[in-house]
Amino acid sequence: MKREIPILITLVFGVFMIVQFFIPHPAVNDIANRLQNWAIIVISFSYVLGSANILRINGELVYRRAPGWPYKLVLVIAFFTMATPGLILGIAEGSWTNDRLFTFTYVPLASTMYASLAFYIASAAFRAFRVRTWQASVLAITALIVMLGRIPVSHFIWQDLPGIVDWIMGVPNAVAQRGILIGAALGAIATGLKVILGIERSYLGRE
Amino acid sequence: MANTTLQKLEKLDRRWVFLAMAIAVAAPLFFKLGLAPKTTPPVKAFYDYIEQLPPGSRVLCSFDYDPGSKAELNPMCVSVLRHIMLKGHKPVILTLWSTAPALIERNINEVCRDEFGKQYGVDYVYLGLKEGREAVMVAMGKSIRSTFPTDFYGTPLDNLPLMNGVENYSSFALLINVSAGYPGTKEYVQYVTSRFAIPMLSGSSAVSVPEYSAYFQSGQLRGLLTGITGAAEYEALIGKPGLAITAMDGQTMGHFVIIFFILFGNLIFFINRRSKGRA
Amino acid sequence: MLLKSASFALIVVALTACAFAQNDSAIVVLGQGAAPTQVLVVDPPNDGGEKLDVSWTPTAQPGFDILKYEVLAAEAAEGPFKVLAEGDHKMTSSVITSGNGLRLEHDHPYYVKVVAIDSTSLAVPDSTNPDSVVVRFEKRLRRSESAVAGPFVPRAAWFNMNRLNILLLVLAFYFAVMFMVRRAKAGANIQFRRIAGIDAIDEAIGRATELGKPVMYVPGTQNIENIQTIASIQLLTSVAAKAANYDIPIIVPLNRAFMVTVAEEAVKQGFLNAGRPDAYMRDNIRYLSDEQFAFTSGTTGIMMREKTAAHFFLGAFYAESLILSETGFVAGAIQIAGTANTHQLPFFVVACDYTLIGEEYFATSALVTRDVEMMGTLKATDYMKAFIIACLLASLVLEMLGVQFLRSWFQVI
Repeated sequence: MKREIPILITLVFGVFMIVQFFIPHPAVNDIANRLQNWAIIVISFSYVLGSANILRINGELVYRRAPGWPYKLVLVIAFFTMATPGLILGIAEGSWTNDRLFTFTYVPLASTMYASLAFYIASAAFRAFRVRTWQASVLAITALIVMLGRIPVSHFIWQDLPGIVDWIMGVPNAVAQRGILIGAALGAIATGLKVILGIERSYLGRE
Repeated sequence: MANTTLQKLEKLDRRWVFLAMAIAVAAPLFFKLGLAPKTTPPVKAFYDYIEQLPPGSRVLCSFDYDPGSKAELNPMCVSVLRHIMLKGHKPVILTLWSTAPALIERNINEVCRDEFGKQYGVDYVYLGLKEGREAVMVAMGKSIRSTFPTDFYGTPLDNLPLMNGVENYSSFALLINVSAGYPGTKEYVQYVTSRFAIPMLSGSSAVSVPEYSAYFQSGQLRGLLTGITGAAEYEALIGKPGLAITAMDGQTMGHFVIIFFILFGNLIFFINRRSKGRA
Repeated sequence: MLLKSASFALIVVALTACAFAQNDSAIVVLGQGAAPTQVLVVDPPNDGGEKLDVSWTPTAQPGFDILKYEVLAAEAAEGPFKVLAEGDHKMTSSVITSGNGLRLEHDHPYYVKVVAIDSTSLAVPDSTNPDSVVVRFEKRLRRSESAVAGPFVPRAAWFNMNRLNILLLVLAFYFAVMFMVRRAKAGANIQFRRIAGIDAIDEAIGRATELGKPVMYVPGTQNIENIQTIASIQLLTSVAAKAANYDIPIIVPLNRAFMVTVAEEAVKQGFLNAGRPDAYMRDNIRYLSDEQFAFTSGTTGIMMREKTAAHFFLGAFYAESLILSETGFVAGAIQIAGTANTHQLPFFVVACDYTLIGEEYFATSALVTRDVEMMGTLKATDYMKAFIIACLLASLVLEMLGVQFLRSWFQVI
């Protein structure tokens, strides 16, 4: 029964949400909206669960003096440093929490991590774009054209370059993207169907 | 000896690449090049769609990005708000990303309140964050009021004149989404645009361009701003140069560095291969 | 004298009109002048009874400079009417829905009227001298209202015919899955092409075993409701079972709190399947953070500190993909990635040893487990794709012949 009941719930609600897509009548639509509101509430609880998990997992490791426990301690301290002033002082614009902790601490940290992508892209490009085969040559030449065509001085290099880039993005790229998208969408639909029909049960845990 | 050096160069320590990139991106901070990009069709379409709306149109803006992608998407968000204000439209703004509300609030206050002197509740409204991703998108199709009973500041929507008569997507002339990923443009296209028949414009990070170009071609997106280049083109179109145009110098130099390393890597690769062939 | 009387009459008419106006600056004219005629209200099919289609004919009389139209509705013929739609002078139809305090619901009667708003010059007396016959002309807005039409009762539909195409495709897919699953269960020989990334799973775990280092499995950065994550959890069980067989630890960094229990259960199941439940270590299922880059830096930190030798990045990934895979590359790990997020595929391709692209990723769980039901579903997906390709080719030929019915049939509303 541990698995049958969840599978039944999945089947009933899954089929209902598919069926409601085809029935515009409020008698059905209102129930669907109620279910969607439940989903919003459940997802919102993930923040509570996340906070509890952070404290449970890391607190336990600190208590047990597990390997790397000082890092976990830093994490727990950082958690309270961020959460406590926010709860007490509020997060309105101009508040200490917003300015000092969010704008001047968290924003630069997150931006730095995102910006580091530029370095990773450069080193990956240096390593990957070697014209070992004719396919690799096509890839490298296309990459060079697109990169040159995407900069403001591209039309000074060659007047037709931006147009060629638009063609590359709009024809060969879009065709390949659509092919992959259709395949991936079918795969996603099939997985969804497997879940609803109870063929895919791994997310429910142990047998 | 020479061969050894070439072999070493082929496996160049990536920290040299990092250093070159850092210098290239930082140099324009001191020596401005003032490069402005040429307008591309998706950006022009984005601009034209907002231009042709009757003044006073209600526009729903979903700004979905986080501090990580702030550098790339914030200039876009600011420009979109400026353009909306310049045309006299009335934005209703929300976000589905939990770390976005403070970023968005700052932009709204800077542009709508300080720059244009507009009145909150009458000319613009900020609904704030609602967690729930696609469920929120679909729920707004039925009722925005039950999805967002109050605005970001806790004011009931009934007390905000701009929200009078707003029920769902049909109360808006346009949906604009600036997104860094999930949930964002892809989900709005899949769950909202066709189902609730609302025209949509999108601004996204550059990495999503190949995917979203297909949506623009098919008409599911009426206009598309892509990354910092798209934002710079848009800034030039609305006649308000900002951070995106400034950032184009750094991006251009970054592109040149990558191009240099691709060419350099291949040159060394060919020389090495030729020497190996001779040997 | 005649001029004086005419002026006076004009003033009286204008003031009377002003008295009926809905606001201070507008004049209201009923059923004449710029007022739209032939207001037609239709209940649109395939909706929940919350809309009405309103169309009208603009005035045939010349000389009106219409600024905009307003569509108003009320629950009674005498009002109060609420503005539910407005548009410029070119507008001749509109779809009205609930708004402005009026709720449009199925099976309720509604009355509709359309108002044309134009600008007119109005003669007003000189306020400084009431006895004077001198008038001056002021620009005023004039509201010309159509006759009230109604009652109209919107009806709610029990089926949206516009979505019939989707229903047929869903049903076709469902029956294809059922048919293929039945065939697979009956022992039919179902063949698939080899996917290099799947063969590499054993290779990667073997490499980690040789080095005596842990395996790392990242099931994407999205929650359990994401289809890619669900597909990844099935694979996690298989990979965990293989790792348990070789007696090496498997570390699972997580980006979502809900995923902790799911991942714990999947790994436990894998260890159980391998007959090694004792080797399961709960500490290796690590929830790091919901924040994208905090998770990314946490995961790369684990790679560098614990020297993980085999990395699996299977699920929905975003900007973190290149940082994770490049760090793994530098650490010298063998890496297998798979995602349906096409914009992240190039990053995985350059930095990983094997990449499962789009549908390959979804096919992997069936091919790894060799579960007959999953194999049947996978085959049904292949047939569905073949059907779509056939439709695309047919549509292409028909379009070239000028026939557009197939394209319009696929149009989703």
